[in-house]
Amino acid sequence: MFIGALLVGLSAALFVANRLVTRAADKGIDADAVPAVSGTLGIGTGGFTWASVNELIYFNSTFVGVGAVPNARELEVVGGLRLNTSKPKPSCASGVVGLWWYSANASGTKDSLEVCAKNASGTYAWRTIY
Amino acid sequence: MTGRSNRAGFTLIELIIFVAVFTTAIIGFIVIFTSFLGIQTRQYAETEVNQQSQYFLTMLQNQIDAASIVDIPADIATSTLTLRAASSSNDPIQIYVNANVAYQKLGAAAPQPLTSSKVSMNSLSFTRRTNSGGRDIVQVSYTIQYAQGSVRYARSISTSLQKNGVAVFDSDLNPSVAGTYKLGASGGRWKSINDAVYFWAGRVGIGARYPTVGLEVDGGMRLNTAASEPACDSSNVGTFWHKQGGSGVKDTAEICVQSSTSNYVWYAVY
Repeated sequence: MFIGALLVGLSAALFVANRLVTRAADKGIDADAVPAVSGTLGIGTGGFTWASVNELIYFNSTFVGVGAVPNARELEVVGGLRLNTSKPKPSCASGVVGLWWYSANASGTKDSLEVCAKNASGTYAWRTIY
Repeated sequence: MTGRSNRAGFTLIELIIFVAVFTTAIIGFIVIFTSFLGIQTRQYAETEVNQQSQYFLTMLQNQIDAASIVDIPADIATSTLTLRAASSSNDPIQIYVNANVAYQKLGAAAPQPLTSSKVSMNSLSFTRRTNSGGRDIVQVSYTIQYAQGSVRYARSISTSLQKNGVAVFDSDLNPSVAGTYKLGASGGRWKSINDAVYFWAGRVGIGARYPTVGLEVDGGMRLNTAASEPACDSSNVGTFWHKQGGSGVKDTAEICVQSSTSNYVWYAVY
């Protein structure tokens, strides 16, 4: 996409990151913002949380909203939720219980919507919803 | 005839002519030699000024190129350039002139001179220019002149240097107060987070670069729920819930819906 899109609207923001203590109101970030070490640092930690990202993902305590501020549940979406899957369906096991999977099939074959759940005999399997 | 020699000698006229010619030759030689020394000294001064200026610009370009942020106000000339560095031991980087010598200061280390006492640097000025669609540009201007002996050679330099480095954070990226500020907003949005969450056309994709609905997931959606199922009411309608049954009890996958009798109920799909 456009590097220019990375010019930030962090307008009144004050970073308190260790090194980038800087008022961004008059400068913004003009390049990718990357951590010095991969997979170690966080965005909004220790109670210093961001209100939103790109005005698309919103936060309310530990609730996350897509399109609006969430007020009831852990994940709330304004608009549809689509499982547009290009990956192979994993096996259903206790480690992925609660997983919903939509399998889009070729023309002439119905699609399927399944949820990984355990039955009364303790067997984990894909349960067909559609 | 006695007492008079026949040996020929120089007449006074000849001696005067000789001294005049010799003096002229010496003066000419001195003039040529002095001129030669002058040219050589000037060439040395030019070389010194140009080399030190070039070294200063090269160092400046390297630091700006790799900087995370050019940390000076936009469009305002300032005498000290402050850069935020990727390496915490080098942060911040400051480049300035003190007593006609240019210095760079890396973090808490002692300032390092970028020019020697053979030249004198003055009027160093930096101006950050934002570059819509690109990265910041730093306009730099200064005067550098030879500072040894009586040779006068000075150059005034004005140029622009571009930053190319990404903004590297070596700590968590936090706002100063909770829940107030935005990370990306109208007019300046981020493309992605961790190459896992994508933003496109006002939609969010998880693993999906170009989502077609509000939230699109490339892969499955898992409800890994530890909390107990809440009551189904109007505030929860549309909620999916996976209730894990205990031993000998089947799981339940439910959706909170409003029935035809306007009751809100958990509708079991499994």
